[in-house]
Parts: sequence; C-alpha cells; structure tokens
Amino acid sequence: MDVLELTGTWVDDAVRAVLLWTAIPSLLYFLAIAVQQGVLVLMGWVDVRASSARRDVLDLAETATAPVSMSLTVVMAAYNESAVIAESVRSVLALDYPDHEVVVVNDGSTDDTLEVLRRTYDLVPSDREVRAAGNLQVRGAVRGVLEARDPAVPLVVVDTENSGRADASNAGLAVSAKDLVVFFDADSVLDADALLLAVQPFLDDPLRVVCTGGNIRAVNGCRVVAGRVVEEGMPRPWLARLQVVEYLRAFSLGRAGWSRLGALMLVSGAFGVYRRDMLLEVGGFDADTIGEDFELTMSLHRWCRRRRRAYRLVFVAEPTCWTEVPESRAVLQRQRSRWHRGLWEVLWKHRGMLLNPRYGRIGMVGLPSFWLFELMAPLFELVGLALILLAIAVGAIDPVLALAALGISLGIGILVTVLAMLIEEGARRRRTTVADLGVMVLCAVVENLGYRQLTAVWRLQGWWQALRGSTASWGEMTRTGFATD
Amino acid sequence: MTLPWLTPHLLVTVLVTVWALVLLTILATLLSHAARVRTERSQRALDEAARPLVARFVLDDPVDPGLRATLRDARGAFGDRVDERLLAVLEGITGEGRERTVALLVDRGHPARLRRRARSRRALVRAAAIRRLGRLALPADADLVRRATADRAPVVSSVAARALAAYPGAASAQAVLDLLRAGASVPQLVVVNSLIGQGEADEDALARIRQGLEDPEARVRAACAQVLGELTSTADAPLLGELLRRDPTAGVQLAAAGALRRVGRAGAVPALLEGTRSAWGPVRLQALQALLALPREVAAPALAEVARRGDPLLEPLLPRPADLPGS
Repeated sequence: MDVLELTGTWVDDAVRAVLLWTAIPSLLYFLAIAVQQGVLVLMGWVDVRASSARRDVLDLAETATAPVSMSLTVVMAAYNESAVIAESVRSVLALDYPDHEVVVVNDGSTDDTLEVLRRTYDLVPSDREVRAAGNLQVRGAVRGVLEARDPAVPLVVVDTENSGRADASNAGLAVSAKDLVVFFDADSVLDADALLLAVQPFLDDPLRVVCTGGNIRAVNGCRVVAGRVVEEGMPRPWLARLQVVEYLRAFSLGRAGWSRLGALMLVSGAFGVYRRDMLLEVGGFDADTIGEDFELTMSLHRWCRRRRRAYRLVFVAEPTCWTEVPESRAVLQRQRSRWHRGLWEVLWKHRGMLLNPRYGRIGMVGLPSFWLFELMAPLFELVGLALILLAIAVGAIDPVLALAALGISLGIGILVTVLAMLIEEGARRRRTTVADLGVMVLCAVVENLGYRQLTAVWRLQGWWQALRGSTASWGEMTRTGFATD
Repeated sequence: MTLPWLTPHLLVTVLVTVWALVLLTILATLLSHAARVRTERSQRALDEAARPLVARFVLDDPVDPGLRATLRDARGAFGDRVDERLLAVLEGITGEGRERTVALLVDRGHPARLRRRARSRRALVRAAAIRRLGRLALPADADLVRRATADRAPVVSSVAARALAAYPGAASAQAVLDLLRAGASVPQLVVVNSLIGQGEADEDALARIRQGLEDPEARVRAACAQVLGELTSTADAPLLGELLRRDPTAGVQLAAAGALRRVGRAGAVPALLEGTRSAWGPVRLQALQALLALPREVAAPALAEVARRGDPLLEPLLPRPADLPGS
C-alpha cells in the first residue's frame, strides 16, 4: 500500500522525507507500546487476582492482634498544614496496627502547625535525637524534638528549619526507631487496615522484601469522616475525574504489572513502606532530586543489585492511600511538569544502570521501558500527531487511512483503561455506583481527546526546564479540602 | 513509501477488533458491577432477616423450640445466610452456647454440605468450605482438613493450615510443617498463628514444633523458632540462642533473635551480642531489641559494647550511657 501519496510541491517533499524516516520507527514504537500495555494488563490481572485471593485467606483482625508482627514508624513531613495536621495525626495514630509510632517533621512551617500539635497532644521535650547515621544526612537544622506527655500516645514531633520534603523525611527517618518506616503525606488519608495489609510481604519474607508500595487513589469526591474514607464517589470537576481514571490505570495495571514482573520501578512517596536498615544503607531520600520517591526506589535497586543481594520490591494492591489531586489547571500543570522533570533527573542520574546486565530486569527491561515509554512518550506523541496532521493537510497521506490509524491508537488507549476498570470491578475493591462507572468510561474516552495531549505538553515543559537547568521547586498545592463530616 | 502488508483491509480489521474489544470490556464491567450490586443487596436483606433470629437463638435460655425449628428448616438463599450467621457467632462464643449452635448446624445438614463443597473443582469454594469446617471443629473432619493442606491451590492449603488450629495435635502440627517444607506459598502469619494455637492447646503439638528447630528446611526452623518465642517460658532460650549463633540462614537467625526478645535470659546475652554483629540489618535490630528486653543490669555490658561499635542502624535504639547501670 502506498502510505505517502505525493503531489510534488516542496512542502510535500519535506513532509515525505520526514515521514519516510519516521514511519517505520513510529510503527514499531506504537507496536512496542501496545505489546508492553498488553503484558502489563495480563500481569496486573494476575497480581490483582492473587492479591484478592490472599485477602480471602488473611484474617486481618487476627493479624492486628497476632503477636507476630514488625514494628513500624509513620513519618509525616508537614509544611504549613495547620488546618489538617491534628486530624491527620489522630487518624494515623488510630490505624489498625499492633505496634506503630508517628513521627511528624514540622519542616519550618510559617503557620502554626507546631503550635496546633503542641496544643492538641500536650508536647514536651524529648530525649530522642536526630542522628545523621551512616549514609543518611539531614541538612535542615533541628530546632527541637518533642513528644506527647502521655506515654500512651506514640507521637514524636521534630521541628526543623525549612529544607524541603525529602530532607524533612530524612529527619523523620533519623529519629525513627522501629523495624519499618512508612512515609505518608499529612494531607492524605489511609484506610484503617492499610498498614496491616502493606506489611504482609515483610512478614512472609522479612529478609528479602525491602520495600512495599500501596495503592493510591484520588480522595476528591469521596466522603471523609474522622480521617477515614467512608463513601467513595467521583469528583465533580472533570480535571479531577480524568485523574481518577489515570490513577486507576497507573496502579491497577502499571504498578501491579511491574511488580508481578519483578521489576517494580517506582514506589510512590505518598504511601511506601521501607525496611529502616535499607533506608539507612542508601542514605534515605536524595534532597537534591525533585522525584525523590523514584530516586529512592532506584537507589534501593542499585544498592541491592550491586551487592548481589536477593531482594524484592512489592506492590500490594489492597492497602489504599487516598490523596487529593489538583482540580485547577495551573496546579496540575505544575505537578505534571515537576513529575516529568523528576523522571528525567532520576533516569539521568542512574543512566549507568540502563541496558547494564548487572542490574538484571531493572537495567534490561524496566529502565529501557521508562526511557522509551515514559520519558520519551510525550515527545513521540506530540511529534507524531503533528506529523500526521501535517501529512493530511498537504495530502501526503490518505486521510481515511490516517484516521483509521488514529482510531486504532485511540481504541487501544481506551481499551487499556476499561480493562483496568474491569480488573478493579472483579477485585471488588471499589464501591462505585453505576453512574460513577459511566463517568469513568466517558473519562476513558475524553482523556484521549485533548487532556492527554495537554499533559504531554506540560511534561515536555518540565523536561525542557530540567535541561535548561532552571531551579526546581515544589510550588504550592492548592487544597480544596475533603468532603468531611 | 510502500508497505505491502499494510493494507486498508488490515487497518479496518484491526480498528473494528479494537473497538469491539472496548465495547465488550465495557459490557463485561457493567454486568460484573450489576451482579455484584444485586448479590450484595440480596445478602444484606437476608442477613437483616437472619441476624435477629440467630442472636435470639444464641442468647435465649431456654431456647424457644419454635425458633429452633424455624432456623433448622430454613432453606435456599435464606438458609445459606442462617448458616453464615450461625458460623459467625461461633467465633465469639464458648461452652453450652457453642455446643447448641454446632448442634443446630449439624441438624441443618451444614457439615455434610461443606464436605461436598470441599471436593468442588473451584478452589475458592473448597477454601470457603474448609474454613467453615475449621470453625465447626467437628472431630470427624480432622483428616479432611489435614488432607486439604496438600491441596494444589495455595488459597485452600492456607485456609486448611489455619483451620488446623481447631484440631491441635502432633499430626496437625506435622501437616502444617510439611506445608512449609513443600515450599507452598502460604502466608507466614497464617502458619505461625496456626502453630501457636496448636502449641498452646496440645503438648504433643508443642513437642513437634520443638523438633522442628532441627529440621533441614530453613523455613521450618524459622517458623518453629518464632512459635516457641510466643509459647514457651525461658526453657527454650538456650536452644534459641544456639540457633541464633550457629544457623547459617539469616531468616532463621532473625526468627531466633525475635523469639529471644520474648523469652531471653542472661545465658542468651553472648548469642545476642553476636547477633548484633550480623551482616543482616534486621538480625542486628532484633538482637539489640532482645538485649533491651532483658533486665538492664544483665544486658548493660553488652549494650555498652554495642554503643562502642557505633552502628548507625542500632544507635537510635540504644539507651543513653547515663541510663546504663554502673556508668
């Protein structure tokens, strides 16, 4: 079949030349992405089924009261969170877990976050110290360490100068004294049984499992009572709705699939459980990187692979952390730009692992896939779209065939999303209504008609900023708050 | 440019296939959702009807014969919910109330139904049946539950391992340990809790668990060490100390150190001190925590030595030097 039908002008010649050189690679790229998505759907399905079967076997009440467990520190870095911090700490203290403490790091808040904590929990000076242990360094000057006067309340508050989320988390890690460490955002909500479920892989395999990551979902539109999600729902703004679908796909298929393949590349900073000794070995979070959670995951892989340690990073589909997603375009743009910038920084920092057999599946499968299908994806997507439109405009390609190709691409995008919805429905984790399901199906279609392209532009902006070396910043996340009682 | 295989027919076929799959998946999702909602709604309604009857049956003394007859004769979907409610209350009652409830379930023919379901081709049906038989704990089912630990489906063998806690004895403990030995993918927590339940209730089971410390399989040794830490007095401390010092497997050392945290005594200090030098972080942590669990006078010299080493992993857990006796 003649893909290019030329009319003979110089524009046609130019488009022809470009298409000639890009057609076959583009087709191969498209096929490779489709194969990768297919494998992840299959693996995600296997993982979610196994996870559901496990849930049937485990009696969580038994787990909560069983003497066999691992102690755990929940580290919460808080910057200007006075509106939510007291409730957030209370809900974490009340999580179902036999032995856990909470360490809040007040990262130089300019509001009264510390005062709220002091007032609510009757804080007094503590003997605990923030020690820069091993490879772990804490940059922010520590102004004080406090603890609840009531010894029955396992709460420690570290007050530091503002030094960023990663460094604040490191300060929390330095003061923690339990077997496992969980990093958790003050503005997120955990299901009551989330910790019990997330530690199961450690109980089964305490030496090999170094880290587990849980499921993250958008809390927007859900009803939250006393720090717990009691009713699931879809948010009203379309921007947030589209992100609900994105998160569903990313976690049910992406993380679950990669975990099943033994190459989990990212444990989200919003909810990850780590062995404390491993964190000290790798030096905790890299405070100079904006994608510090991805960087930490890669550091763990690197450390274990270099020492030929038998290790596992596991995604656990059942425990859920609910986080607020941006509802305004400006905030979402900053977030996506920052994420992509972080992705680039980490991939570049660990470029020595790429296609290096020493790093096994991470170097030979995971990293090439992240370079090609995560980092490069917005570039290929936008350039491909522009070329096809240009080719149609100048008549260099049969418009019907071009539209057919676009239809296939759109269909595969939607198929992956609705498969994620089917898997979730089969696992019976979501408590959605049929109306919400309808909205999600609509989102699966709508996201391909502008939203995906827009986020691709924002991601490219983030990459460009990183390449130009402009200063990274977290920016302000405008909180709209939960629908609470 | 010519791509001979890229025909319009191929493109249209792929296009139609992809969109047909999209529509089928959406349909499957909606059907699955509708089925779930319908089942849940119906179960909720039936549960609301069954719950007060079952509660009255369990709490009333003497039991109203009419109520007993109503519950005994309940059939169909409502009968299933009555069985479920009766099994649920079994978890929380003992003595005469429990015996009465079990007798009613036997009269309803529930155990026979469960035995049939335990032979189902579907793993989840078998697992549910074994779990319920474990709750009933009828002596006649001990062999059936023990055999289920060898089931090919991990979900069934896991449920059977837990159910065996209701049939404590050397044979049941052996079945659980065999499961570990076979490398089955059973949650460690399920295995350990089953063995704890058995070891608490039966001396023969405890003896079998103790023997497991010398098993050639590391997973068995680790589980037995963990269980003994929960069950015994300091009698097993020397054995656990030896395990910590001599066992070549880090997982077993970790379990032994964890057990010594609960049953350790002065004689275990040298082993624990050695444990704090392990190459494995979790072993070092557990060993230190076991030292910290001992009376401070006994552990002070060992703690001082650990402090001198300056291990960054252990430092946050160490008491301040001023808090150590003799400082």
